[in-house]
Amino acid sequence: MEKDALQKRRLGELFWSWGYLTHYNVKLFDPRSAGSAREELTDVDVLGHKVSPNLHEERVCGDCRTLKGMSPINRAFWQRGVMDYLRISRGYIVVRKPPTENHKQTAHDLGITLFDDQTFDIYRSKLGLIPKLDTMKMFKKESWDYFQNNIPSRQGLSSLLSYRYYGYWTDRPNRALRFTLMEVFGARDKLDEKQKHHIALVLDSATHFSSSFLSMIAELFQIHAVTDNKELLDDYLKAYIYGGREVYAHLNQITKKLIQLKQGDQNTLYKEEEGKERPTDLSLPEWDTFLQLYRTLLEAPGIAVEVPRILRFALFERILYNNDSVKLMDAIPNITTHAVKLSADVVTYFLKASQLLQKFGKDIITVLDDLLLSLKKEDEAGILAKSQHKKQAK
Amino acid sequence: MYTICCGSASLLFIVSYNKSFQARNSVSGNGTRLAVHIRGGDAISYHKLKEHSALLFDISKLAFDSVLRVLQDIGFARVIGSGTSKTVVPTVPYFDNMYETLGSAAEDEGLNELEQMSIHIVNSLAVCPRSKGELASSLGTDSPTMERILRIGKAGSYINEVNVEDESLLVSPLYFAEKPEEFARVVKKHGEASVSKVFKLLRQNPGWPLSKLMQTQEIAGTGLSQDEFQIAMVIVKKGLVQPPEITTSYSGTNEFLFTPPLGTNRILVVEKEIYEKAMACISCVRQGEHFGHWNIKWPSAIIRALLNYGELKPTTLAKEQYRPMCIRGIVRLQKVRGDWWKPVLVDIPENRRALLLALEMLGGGEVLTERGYDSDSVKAIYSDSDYTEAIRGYGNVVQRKKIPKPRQEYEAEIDNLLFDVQKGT
Repeated sequence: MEKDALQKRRLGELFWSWGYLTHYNVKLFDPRSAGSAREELTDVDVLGHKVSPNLHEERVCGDCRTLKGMSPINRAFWQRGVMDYLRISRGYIVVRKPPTENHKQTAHDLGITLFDDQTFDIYRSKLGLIPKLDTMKMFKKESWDYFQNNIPSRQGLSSLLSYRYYGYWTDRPNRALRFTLMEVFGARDKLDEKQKHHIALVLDSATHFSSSFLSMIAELFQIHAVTDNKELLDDYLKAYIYGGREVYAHLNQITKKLIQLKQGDQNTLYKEEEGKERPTDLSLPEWDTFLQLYRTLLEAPGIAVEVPRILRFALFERILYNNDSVKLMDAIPNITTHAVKLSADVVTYFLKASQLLQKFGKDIITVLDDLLLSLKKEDEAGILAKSQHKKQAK
Repeated sequence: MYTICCGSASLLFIVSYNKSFQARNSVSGNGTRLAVHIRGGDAISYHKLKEHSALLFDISKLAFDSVLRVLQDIGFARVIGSGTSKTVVPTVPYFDNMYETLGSAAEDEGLNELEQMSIHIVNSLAVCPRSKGELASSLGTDSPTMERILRIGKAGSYINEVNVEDESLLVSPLYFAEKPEEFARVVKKHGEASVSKVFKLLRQNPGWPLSKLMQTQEIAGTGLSQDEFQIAMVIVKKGLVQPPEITTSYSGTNEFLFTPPLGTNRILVVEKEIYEKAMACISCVRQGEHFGHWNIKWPSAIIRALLNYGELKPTTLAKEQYRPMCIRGIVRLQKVRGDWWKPVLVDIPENRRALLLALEMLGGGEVLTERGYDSDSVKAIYSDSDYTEAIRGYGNVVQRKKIPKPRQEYEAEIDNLLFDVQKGT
């Protein structure tokens, strides 16, 4: 089992080196399950998700378990099913004993690479593994256990935790975007800014939100590119988030009728809050800021793709652990200050929309600002060194 | 809706020139210039931005902190770090939110009588040049005040004075940058009301075909009197409106009428190249609207389709109709089959900006997207190299003339600066 955990970590590091945001032990459930007891279907050891700089969404997955009596190719057929279910393009399986050539060839045809331990090590060394990742907390099992097992459970958090652990993975990005935000919004009164693990949970949710947000950009950019007309943008985004124009129109009609019912009829029990602006259309909270955020990220979408990984780094290396010995640049070698700035923009929206900016803003934004400042310092030192080198060369 | 100044960016530019002229901190006006150029950008070193702002936007180093404070107060920027690592993080919003918020900030800052009068005058010059005497009496202002407004306006290049047959007429180069004397002569001869009407109609209906105007003596369904029609013909003949033309085998040569671009070299409202591209787009769409075999009903829909889908449906007329857009590098023409061609967008930021501008112009609305934006300044701000080195590469942006000031105003400004220094930051 220890060996499995080590390979899992190594696979996670490899995915990260390729630009993916990595998740461990992703459990799959049928989202339509009506029974009271949740039935786990299967789980994925390592799942990687990224929006590439050319704005295409990509997912990879990896499996490292030793299952007695199951041949490598059987494992590959199982993984192919999981990949189809989760819209994953590429799979990797690490097994103990070297698989036969036939197994490897067939797995390859299924979009899966089969390794034994030894070839996996060669693969890692040849395919651009970032050297300092082993010093980081975010790939270690004990760090994840520390995070997930210590979130103070409170009444009112179960829906958020349930979605974060089980629901998020099978949802389409538009629903995941909506639900991640609204689950945190729903639990806002139960989240305590004095609890480190609650801060971590909020940042983790913001990380998932940012991943879904980027998936949205990836899809809409391919269709509309940059939209500078606010009304059009409003239209596109609402249609996307609520699953199409017809669905949105229907839900919006219901929303309007409910608002009318609440506000218009003197006989109802509801009274409008004084001075509060009446919502007219269905949208996510702080909709105007959402539009601004979308437009801001569109200014540099190729840079924005790093936002989820910056937030993950901040969560494990700064908030949960004070792992100052590692720098952001060690985790993401080509990272820019612009990407960190955009991360702060995303988190600011997320906290504002979930009404947590006052409570959690200071802790999280300060961490991101510190990352930005130290990166800037390194950048400036680099530029200075370069210009000195030029002068010397002259 | 091109009668635009109040509550918009033009107001802020005018205020900024007035305020700097009066040796006060031109906070909201300068804030606008800075905000437009850092919007959507990376975090930037405070010290670098301060140096750039002085060179690119005439924001004095002493005034810079006040400008930045306003941007912070209205949520357009955050400042993090301290000492040499002090950094400005831009959070400037997009769309009309930026101008609305800055407009409110300018109102909060308060406008003095001189500024209000300047704005009123520029607003009234938006549609046509006007008599200086009549304007002064309608405002009830005395001669020294009027002269002071004009001196600042001329220095800021948003008001110009032209003498025609012993009468002094005022023209705003913001709206009539080219041939202001000719404009003034037309007004002198035909009167303000008629000239205003013709210009308003041409601005509200950009790219109206000259041949249609000559045939019907109408612009978009609004009839012109004989005198107004003569005015339209005179301004076309004198080259006061810009008539790009399209020649096709099926409808000959058609000219399309546009009013001059907004802004001057000093006050950038819309980059000239972008405006010219937008004119090409509108002309092509108007060609289809008025001279196509199947007339385009909604010109804006064509521009929107190009923005959204990156191409238009193929037609047999496309090759000739969209040639001007092809020449300007906005679209390329792709052969589908036989005589069927389709325009495909050359998807670069400049072309998208031009299409959006065309969309705004066709909507007859205020041009907000491009207002005051200068891409060279943005490049200079975000250049990696040393600021003077970066700016040297963009000669045009630093060649802006300084506003000449009389001695006593210089002294007043120095007094104010001394006060600021004494007060400390």
